[in-house]
Amino acid sequence: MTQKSTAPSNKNRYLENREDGLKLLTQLISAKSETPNKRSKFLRDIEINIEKDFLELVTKYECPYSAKIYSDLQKIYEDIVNVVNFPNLENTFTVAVGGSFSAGKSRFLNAVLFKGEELLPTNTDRTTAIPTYLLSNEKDSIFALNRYQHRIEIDEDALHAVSHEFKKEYGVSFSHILKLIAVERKDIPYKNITFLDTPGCRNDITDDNIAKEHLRKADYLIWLVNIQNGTIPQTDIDFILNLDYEMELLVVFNKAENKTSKEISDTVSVAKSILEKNNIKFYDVIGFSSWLCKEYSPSGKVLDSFLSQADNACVQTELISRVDDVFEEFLSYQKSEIEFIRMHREFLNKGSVDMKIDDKYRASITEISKKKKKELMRLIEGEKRASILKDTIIKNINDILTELKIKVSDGKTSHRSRKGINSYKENSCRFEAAFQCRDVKNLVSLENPQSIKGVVKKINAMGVIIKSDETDSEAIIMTAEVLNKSGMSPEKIFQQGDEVTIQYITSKNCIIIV
Amino acid sequence: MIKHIKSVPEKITKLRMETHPFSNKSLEKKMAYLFGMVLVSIIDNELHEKERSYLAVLMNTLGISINEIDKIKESVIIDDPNTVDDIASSLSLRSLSDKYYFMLEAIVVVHQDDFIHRSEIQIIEDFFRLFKMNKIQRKKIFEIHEHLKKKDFSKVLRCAAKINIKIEPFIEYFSKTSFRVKLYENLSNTNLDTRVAGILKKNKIHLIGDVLKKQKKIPQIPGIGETYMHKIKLMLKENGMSWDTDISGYPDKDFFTMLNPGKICSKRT
Repeated sequence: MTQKSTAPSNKNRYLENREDGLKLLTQLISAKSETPNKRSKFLRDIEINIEKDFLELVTKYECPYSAKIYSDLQKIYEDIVNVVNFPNLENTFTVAVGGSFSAGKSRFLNAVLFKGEELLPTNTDRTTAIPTYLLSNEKDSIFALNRYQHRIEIDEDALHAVSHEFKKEYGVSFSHILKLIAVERKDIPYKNITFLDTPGCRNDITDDNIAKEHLRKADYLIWLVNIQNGTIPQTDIDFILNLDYEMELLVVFNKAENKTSKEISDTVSVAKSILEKNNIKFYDVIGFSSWLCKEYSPSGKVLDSFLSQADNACVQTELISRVDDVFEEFLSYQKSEIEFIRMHREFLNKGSVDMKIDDKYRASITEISKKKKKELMRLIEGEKRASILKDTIIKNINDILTELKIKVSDGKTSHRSRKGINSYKENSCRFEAAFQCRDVKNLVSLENPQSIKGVVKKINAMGVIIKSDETDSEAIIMTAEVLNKSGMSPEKIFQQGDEVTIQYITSKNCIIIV
Repeated sequence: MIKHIKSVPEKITKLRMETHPFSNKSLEKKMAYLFGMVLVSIIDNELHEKERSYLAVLMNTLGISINEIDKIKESVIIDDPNTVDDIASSLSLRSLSDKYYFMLEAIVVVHQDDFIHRSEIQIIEDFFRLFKMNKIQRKKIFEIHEHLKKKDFSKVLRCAAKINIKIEPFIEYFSKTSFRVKLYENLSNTNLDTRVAGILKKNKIHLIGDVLKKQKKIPQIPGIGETYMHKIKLMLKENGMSWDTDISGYPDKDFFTMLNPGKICSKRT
């Protein structure tokens, strides 16, 4: 239920009254989950799938990537919890508002979304210490999500208090307790956008990292610069470059009301050349006055068209395809081991038949072959169990998504492609590739077919051509595969001479791990 | 953009040409060869069922997983002139017989759908130019192709011997493999009366191979009388078959899935 603030607009009960302040602190730290029972059950099931079933699986059927897969599954689980708590975050595109300290991010959002009403706390001091999401909903409410994944409804006074003033008054900061704040309002005109107000960069390392972590999840970025700076500071450029991935970027020179049109247009053109020089792709650069809610650009409609573009795009969640990808690592390893043992057995069987050898040796070979068969059956069983577990997890996630009315991406034409790039940058990437080994003997003698050393020999219109001298084998990743998996062209990811790992799958297929 | 075609299974069909001069080449060359063939087959913005079948058999022959076909198709950028250059450079065809072979196969591929589009002629010309092949050499290739189409294999062999080109895989394809491929042709794509085809379809007889396999049951199907049986016989004859045609090994499930009859959608949008 929405708690209406009873305090006068210039007073804050949590700051004025210590008892109320303490109550708020207790509420935010030890909140109980508000998640409905049905969803809780699905979440519990997924947790059991990961914490019990998956761990059992990898204990029985070893895989060198188990730790990474486990950690990825935990991340997915964490995201599912967020989705359950804030379904709208997954159902909308995120437009992040970033910028250095005192660039006026919160004031900008107040201007764009609330026509200047000061919902988000603004101050010349550091204010937004906790990433704050603003989104449209049928009723006005504010929620906080703490580190224990518990969601708590708070009022406007609490929002102002936790953002900064609380630390000033009581010496307690909420930035380490609260993961995010979600402000839901009826009057936000963009129904398909979640706006993200981030802590200003260059405050301190922790705030920078929090800002980066949240910005990386965004789909669009509005970067605010105080026009008094004259241009985009190098520190801002470094911060944007450090985000390590491409997203639609609009640079806004804020506080432009005190500048002449010529000064604004000069600042904009210098900024554009700086961005181009640093190879930062951008949508546009404009001047803006949060004070007057006015845009300074030749058309005067750049911000509106930027936001309309996001508002009209189709959003689909990628949670399912992420589970698919994570399990793919385990399954491809199992598949590779299975094929490898099959190859060994074929070799042994052929040898025992073809070669003129003593019966004694033939019996030994048959014995080894039998053991290999046993191992083979064990691996096939592991592969089956992993597939079943994957399907179970996907089913449970699907049930939650259906309950929350969230669209699922088909995994091929993702509308959240930038998030794909993001995940590429965060993790190592696996690409399916065509494979050929001139002499099978080279593979049979390998100790570990999962990690054959390869070197990128050529990148051309077909894709990336990789060679392994160790096994006299070749692999080719098609251009389409690189584009689909990473959202980038092969030239942006690979360079001639790069070392990669080839994971043998079958005599015709392999996985290239970068 | 090409609509996504249902991906084909990893376990591939046994349909392949026994000898192919590129089957022992490096993966890069094989892939460049395939890229070339895919490019000529989709340059008219259409991948015909017959072109797809031919490419599948070629992929089997070269030892490349059929799963790669969609990725190759997506990777080939028709309008980019670098694509043709990169293919030619990766192929690095030095011997004239390899050039002859590539060009002959490209011509065979574009003729699969019985309709030659202007863009197909253009791309063939581009390859001729890149391989620096003169008019006489071009003429010889077209001559072999004409004989192949007519299945006049003695003339094919004679012409091929003159330019030292390994022609056996083509003869094998045109004499045996293409016939095997035909078994998977949907009855609605043949000249069979639509009413007959409809009755057969209702009785789960969709392909030419099905007709031969279930030939004993067909006369018992209600609505199929002597006239219709005659029409079916004529259709078989038009496709070079009879009731006695040997269909051992049919259906090859993997090939069937690959063709995905009735669902093939390859038009570019």
